[in-house]
Amino acid sequence: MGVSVDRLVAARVTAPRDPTPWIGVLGIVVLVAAQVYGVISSPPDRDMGHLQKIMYVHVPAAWNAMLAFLVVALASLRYLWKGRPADDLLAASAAEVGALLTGLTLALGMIWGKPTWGVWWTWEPRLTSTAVLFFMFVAYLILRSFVDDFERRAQWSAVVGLLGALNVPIVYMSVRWWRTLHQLQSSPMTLDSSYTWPLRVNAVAVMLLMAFAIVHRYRTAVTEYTADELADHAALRGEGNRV
Amino acid sequence: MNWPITQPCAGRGIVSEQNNTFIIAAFAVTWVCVIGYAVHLYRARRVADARLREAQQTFGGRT
Amino acid sequence: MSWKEEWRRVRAVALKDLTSERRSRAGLNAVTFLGVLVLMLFGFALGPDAEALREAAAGAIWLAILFSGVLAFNRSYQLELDGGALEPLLLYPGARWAVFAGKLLANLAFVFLVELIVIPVALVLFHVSIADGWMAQISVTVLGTVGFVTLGTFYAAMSSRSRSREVLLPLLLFPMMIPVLLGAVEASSSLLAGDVMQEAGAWIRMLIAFDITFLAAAVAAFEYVIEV
Repeated sequence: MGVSVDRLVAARVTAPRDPTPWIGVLGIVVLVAAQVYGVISSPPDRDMGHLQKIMYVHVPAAWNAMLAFLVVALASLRYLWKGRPADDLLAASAAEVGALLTGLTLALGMIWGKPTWGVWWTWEPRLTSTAVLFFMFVAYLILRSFVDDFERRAQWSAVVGLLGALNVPIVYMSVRWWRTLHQLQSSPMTLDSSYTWPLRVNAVAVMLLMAFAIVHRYRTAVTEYTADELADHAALRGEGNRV
Repeated sequence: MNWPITQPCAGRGIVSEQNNTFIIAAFAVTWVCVIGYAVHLYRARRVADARLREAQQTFGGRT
Repeated sequence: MSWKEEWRRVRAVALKDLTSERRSRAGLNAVTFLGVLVLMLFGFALGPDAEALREAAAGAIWLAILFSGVLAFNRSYQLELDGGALEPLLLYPGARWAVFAGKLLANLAFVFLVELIVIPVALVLFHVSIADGWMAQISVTVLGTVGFVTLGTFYAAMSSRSRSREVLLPLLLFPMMIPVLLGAVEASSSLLAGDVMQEAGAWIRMLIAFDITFLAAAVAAFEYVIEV
């Protein structure tokens, strides 16, 4: 762990300014443009009318939440494999953004479901497994806040993240079984071509913002980690008593 | 996906079904999340930078 | 390292846990009592209507087992942590998974003992009869318990060594439990209703698949959890 820590610390100490905030501003501008394009360009839906517009925020949030969870799983796996602190910090950052996106997906799904299906919530496989995903993200973050030792927190949360990732398809499958055995029809998805491009553009815009948020959060985590390391190294040299 | 079938229609659609409240709510919730998280990111960075500066001043930045 | 030696280690860990549990016995009595109490609460919440109680019985039984059993898992590590005995235990030669398997067996015995009281009480309170198909009913109970205890023993290895362990364990455990809970409740309730839809068999097969998956994952991941 020694070398990589020193490199991390050195990189953070020497880097003068983080250039990523401009990417965030760009991401917000792109998101505004994508939403305006989506709202203006697409015709109202035959059944839903303008309610279809909610798709442009709901679906990108859902897709990107999955992506964030994938990042958590991959970074966790790499942490268990290589033991580099950076991977743990990346997993934690992606988990925080992912939890936000999953929560947003659920909220938007409810707002969309009420006028179209007539209910705020239904025990449908996709909905239910998204809710479970949300709970697992939150449990992951709570676990991190309850463990103080760095190595222990990193190792444990990597394991919890991986097992959570393993659980998502299992939950989805079991809930689908639960519902289909009870004879619930699920409608097939057909998306008219006039909606696909606005949807894609919005998904990319949200992805850009998500990437920015994860990288920004990650660099903040590295900064915090560096500050802790400086204090630890000083304590090892016997200077800790000065503070 | 399990949302109802989407198909465009001529004109403005069925006016009675255009629940503007829900659409505005959805976009508003999204933007509250975006702006709120941006503020959180900014604050977290400021706190972390302050901690690093303090650590560097106290411990001299050597590792 | 032969299998026979590993099995001896597993047995030693299990017997050690069970012995300390047997000598105190306070844990088992309290947890069993809590399970019965939860059943009573479900009875009050669902009302005295016999038909409604019978329909909800499977869910109530499993939730009572969940809420009382979850208290047992942290204990399984807590006794060792209090005595500073976990590190010495890990220093013994042999595979780490043997420690997990031993604790798993001890916890399984513990939860089965709790169920031995809680389930008959539930059958009485909720006016349920399992005269026919009791074999299938028992196998569902065993399979559901194995899945529950596997995940519980695994996550308690973390939660017992962190702050606010009482809250953390259910937070980690219950979302992971959903497939097992769903399978167990659905299989139980369709069996209780006479399995008219012939769906209990499918759920039992699914429970077996879940148990194997979670058991393999927990055994593989335990080393990473316990070594820090």
